[in-house]
Amino acid sequence: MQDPSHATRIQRIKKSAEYQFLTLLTRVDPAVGTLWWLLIALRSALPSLFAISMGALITAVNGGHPLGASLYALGGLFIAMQTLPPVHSAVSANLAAKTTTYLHDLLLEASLAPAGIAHLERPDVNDRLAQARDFDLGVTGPALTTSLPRIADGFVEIGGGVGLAVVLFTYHWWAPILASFGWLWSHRLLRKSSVWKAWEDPAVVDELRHVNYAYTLAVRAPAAKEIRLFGLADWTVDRYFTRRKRMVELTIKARALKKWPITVAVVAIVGGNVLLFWSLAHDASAHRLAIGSVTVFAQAALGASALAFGEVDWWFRQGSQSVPVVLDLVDDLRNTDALIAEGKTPVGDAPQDAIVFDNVSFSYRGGAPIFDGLSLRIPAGTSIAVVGQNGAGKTTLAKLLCRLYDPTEGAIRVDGTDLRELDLAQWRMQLAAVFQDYVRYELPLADNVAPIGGSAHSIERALHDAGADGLASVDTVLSRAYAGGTDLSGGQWQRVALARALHAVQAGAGVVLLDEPTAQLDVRGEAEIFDRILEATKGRTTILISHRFATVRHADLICVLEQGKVVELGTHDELIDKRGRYHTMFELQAARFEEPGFTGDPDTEADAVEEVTA
Amino acid sequence: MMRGIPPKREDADLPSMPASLLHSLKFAYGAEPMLLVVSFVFTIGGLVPEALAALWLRVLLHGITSGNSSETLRAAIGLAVTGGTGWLLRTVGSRFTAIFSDRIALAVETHVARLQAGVSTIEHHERPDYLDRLQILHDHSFLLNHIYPSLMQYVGSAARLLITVGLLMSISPVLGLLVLFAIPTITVTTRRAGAERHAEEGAAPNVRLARHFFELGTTPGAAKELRVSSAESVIAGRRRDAFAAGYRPVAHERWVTAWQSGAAWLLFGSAYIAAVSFVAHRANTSSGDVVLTLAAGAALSRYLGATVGQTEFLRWNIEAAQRLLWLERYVGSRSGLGQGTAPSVIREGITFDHVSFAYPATDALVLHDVNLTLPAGSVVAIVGENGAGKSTLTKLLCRLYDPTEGRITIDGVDLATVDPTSWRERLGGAFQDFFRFEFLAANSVGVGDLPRLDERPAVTKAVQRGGAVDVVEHLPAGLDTQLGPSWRDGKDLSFGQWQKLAVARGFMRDQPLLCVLDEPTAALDAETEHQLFERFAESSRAAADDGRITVLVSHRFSTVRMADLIVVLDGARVAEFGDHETLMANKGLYAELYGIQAAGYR
Repeated sequence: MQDPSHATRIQRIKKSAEYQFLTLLTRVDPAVGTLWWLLIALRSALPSLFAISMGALITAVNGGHPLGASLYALGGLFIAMQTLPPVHSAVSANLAAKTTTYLHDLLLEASLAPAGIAHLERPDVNDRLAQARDFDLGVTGPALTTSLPRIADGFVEIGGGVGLAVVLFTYHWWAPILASFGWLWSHRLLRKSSVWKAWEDPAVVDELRHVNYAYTLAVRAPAAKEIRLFGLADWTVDRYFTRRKRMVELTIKARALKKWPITVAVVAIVGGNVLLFWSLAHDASAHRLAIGSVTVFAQAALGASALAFGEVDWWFRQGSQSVPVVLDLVDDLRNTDALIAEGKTPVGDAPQDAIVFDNVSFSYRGGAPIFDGLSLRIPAGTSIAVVGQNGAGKTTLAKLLCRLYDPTEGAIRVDGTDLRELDLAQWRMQLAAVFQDYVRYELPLADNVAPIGGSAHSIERALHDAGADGLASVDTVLSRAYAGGTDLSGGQWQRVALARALHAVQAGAGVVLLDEPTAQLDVRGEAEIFDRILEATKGRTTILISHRFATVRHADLICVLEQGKVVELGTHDELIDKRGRYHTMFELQAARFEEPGFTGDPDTEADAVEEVTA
Repeated sequence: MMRGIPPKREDADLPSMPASLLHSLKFAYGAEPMLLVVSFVFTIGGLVPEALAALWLRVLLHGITSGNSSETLRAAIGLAVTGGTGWLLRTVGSRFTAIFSDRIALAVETHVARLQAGVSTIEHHERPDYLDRLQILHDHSFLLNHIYPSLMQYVGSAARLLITVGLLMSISPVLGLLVLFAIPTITVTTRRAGAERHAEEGAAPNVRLARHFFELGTTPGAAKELRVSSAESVIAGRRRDAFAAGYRPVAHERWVTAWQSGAAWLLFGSAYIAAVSFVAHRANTSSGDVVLTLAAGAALSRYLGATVGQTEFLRWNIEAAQRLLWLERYVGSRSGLGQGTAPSVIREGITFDHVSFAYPATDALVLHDVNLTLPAGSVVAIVGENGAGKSTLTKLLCRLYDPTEGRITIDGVDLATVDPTSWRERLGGAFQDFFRFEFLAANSVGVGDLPRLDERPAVTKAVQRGGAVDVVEHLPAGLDTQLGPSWRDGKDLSFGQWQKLAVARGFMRDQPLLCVLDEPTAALDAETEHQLFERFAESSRAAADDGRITVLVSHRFSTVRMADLIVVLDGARVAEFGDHETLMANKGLYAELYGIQAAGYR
């Protein structure tokens, strides 16, 4: 029967960061990982073999024997001791890079795998994600490429020390104990004061995030303009400094050396070594030990000190600590309340009839309800504009339609089938969307239009349809942070995002979602783009979210959202006649263009519009 | 269809290594003088005793062969005590070093952050070659802090090495030649650090790209679109590709240097064996001499390895220090951009005098020979099509860049002679690419006027001015709500809600001389926009006594037309200039664009 405490100890070891880290190495790349371990074993054996051949040489010198064999052995071992480290260091650095990318891969795939996006919006997950994301940036500790070579060297030192202890064993069984007890004990005594256990404390994690946030704010580009405009440089750096300082002082306090353990360790080390060397000297003087053996054992005793020295503890801990963070997070991401995408019903060319929001209620993760019994019928093949004040839930409507979330109550039906029963991958292939915060890929223009690929012709056409031809060559990277790259203005980016959606329409998407697609376009662009979009999406079901009533009015249907419900639905003319919310909002914007003295020539205007639409 | 991005080489115009090292030492001495000295002394003291072990070993063997037991015993005790002392000094020393490292890390990182945030212009955030360098400063900030422990280890190792060489030469001066054979190992190692760093810098664009994919895939914002466009299926693969493209040259470089150092060590190893053989075959040699040669020679290689290894690490550290010094000099070159104080009122106006501008390291002129005057007390609208240079004009007004040619004057005083900080204290406004400050709502707005960050009435007033009252009302804890979904109890806002808060932030200051509104309402709804603009006009009129100028960039002609003056930019030049009536009568570009938009409401 197995001892239960033994079993839990094994489990504890298996859960430890260090164990997870070490076992990861061979999983990442079996060949390189094994080579890494082999080199450790090989290099560990060298010091004791060297000590032994040294003894042989001394024996030969002392006895006047020929030196040849022992000298060659010594030479070979010595050269191996010198040439293996640089090779090992290259193996370590490359293995470290592979491990880093392996962990990134795991994290990325786990974060991309769920069909919904709720897992990325949970604060507890986000805390850890922030921690896990930055493990290789050298912010919280050294990057693995720096630490792994040092971990390898540290292991070799310890392995060498163990090898020498084994050599000492051939002198007396107690010799290795005397030689290494003090050195090993020193680890144990000091370990307590070298670890700061509070790292996992949620308050500390929170504090760390604040520290990193303030640092990022100070050194990265996104906030740069406002940092300067409002003179926030010192303020944000001080925020970073005071919080970080508090943590540094806490760490220092936690690691303070205790006087007592130090004294015990010194006594143990000096005492043990005095006894051992005295015994060697005594045996040699009494001719019980040959001079060659004395040399071997003395070398071994000296070498055992490798068991105490080295910063391997620190490097090892630093290198390991991120591994469980990433692995646990990956597990959690996989098991987080992901929406269940098991629908099998083929989508085909749906919707042919209509998309229906049937009494839909929805709230984010226990927050206030965004929708409360919302019902809306979007006939297939028509365009519908959704208007409403900020926060009315327009974007949420789009998110539900993409099935990034499921309704809390009620259902969304496509041609009568619940969205949850449809094959999700197929449904998304039916969608083309431009969100307000569309993605700006730091990639060539072509990839920005067709992230999952497309023919040169279809890319050109999508760019043309979005009025984005001539922005840049399709091979130009759209970020100035890359050689030969270029930055686009907000309006230019928006056209690229539109081109991306239009490209998806070409590829067969039947439902088009446009969330403020012209917010950053100029006048001519806005007027022009709508005609182009309407043309390119003819026959598709188009959902347009916009504040601009000049564009909204072109939609077949207009839906006014307020307080989680549809308050008005109809064509532009119907809603204007109704003199309700839509009418008020439209008039507010229109009034700004009406002026008693306006003498604009209607012909000129008509020309202008024609010119643009041509 | 992943396209590999070619690695980019940078021309090294970095400060010299000795200068950078000295600079870093001065910095540390300034920050933590006591700890620096104490950890230096302990580290060196802790490394030296070990070197004496070889000497004790010779005494031990001599005692045994000559049958002198008191000598033997003395050697035994000597060996034991040497080890113990070394350990104690090293242990205590490493603690001092750790404390020193932690404190100096804080000081260094704060310094880097302060330097970067403190540069008054934003060029370093927009130039690829600078970005590469800064990335190394961030990503390897660790190296910057470890320059000190590394230097201490280096000096300690060197001392240990000298003692060992001395011991060897005491047997025969010829043995000193061993050091010569060690030179290739040092050369190779020195070359190695630079070569690897160089390869890493070449790989930086790919690393950045891999990071970009990684962040796209793990942040909520992009998560929506990635899923809807089915791009989530390719993101992971593309990250891998970008990583591999960056990894290959670096890994290759590592192998090359590994073989080179292997060869160099082979040379040294052969010399070592020759030395041992020389001593062993010498006439009337003693086993004590041989063991000293063996021990000291082996230690020599170990100490040399350690010293050289330290050199390598130290070199990395110094390379980071070079970047730091570069940054400091860069910041220095950007400071002192004018000492003058901003005027308290504008009497005449702000004048653009033959102003041309191209972004640094680019040729295309974004603004070309712009001449115009923004009169004191006026509301000026800037219109033009995308890419016409509207945002650039506002950046120049805020002095985020200086004109490439020509000058901007305030009542005749060149803006370049005014201290940027002093000038910005009199600015207010909001940009289209505003930042989402994830603080408490009150602070997210309050940072717009730092001295009044915690003055609730001021914040409330700014919220009203910015039309963000409804945003705050919907927050669970009002102004005390933490913003940003990733924070504990943090609330996410819609794009439009963030924008309203950004506008409120821009209105925190009570007495701005210049208020820049660069498309701040693009995502706002009709009613908010309407109310907001009424307030713009009102507050501008009320502030006429200090000559406040409001500059408004907008695509909405309904807003633009209320401006006193409208500047129409076209292809980097000023195409038209005047008030609404004048420009309508001109029937030029403005009238055309206005007509297009008005038609939408008729």
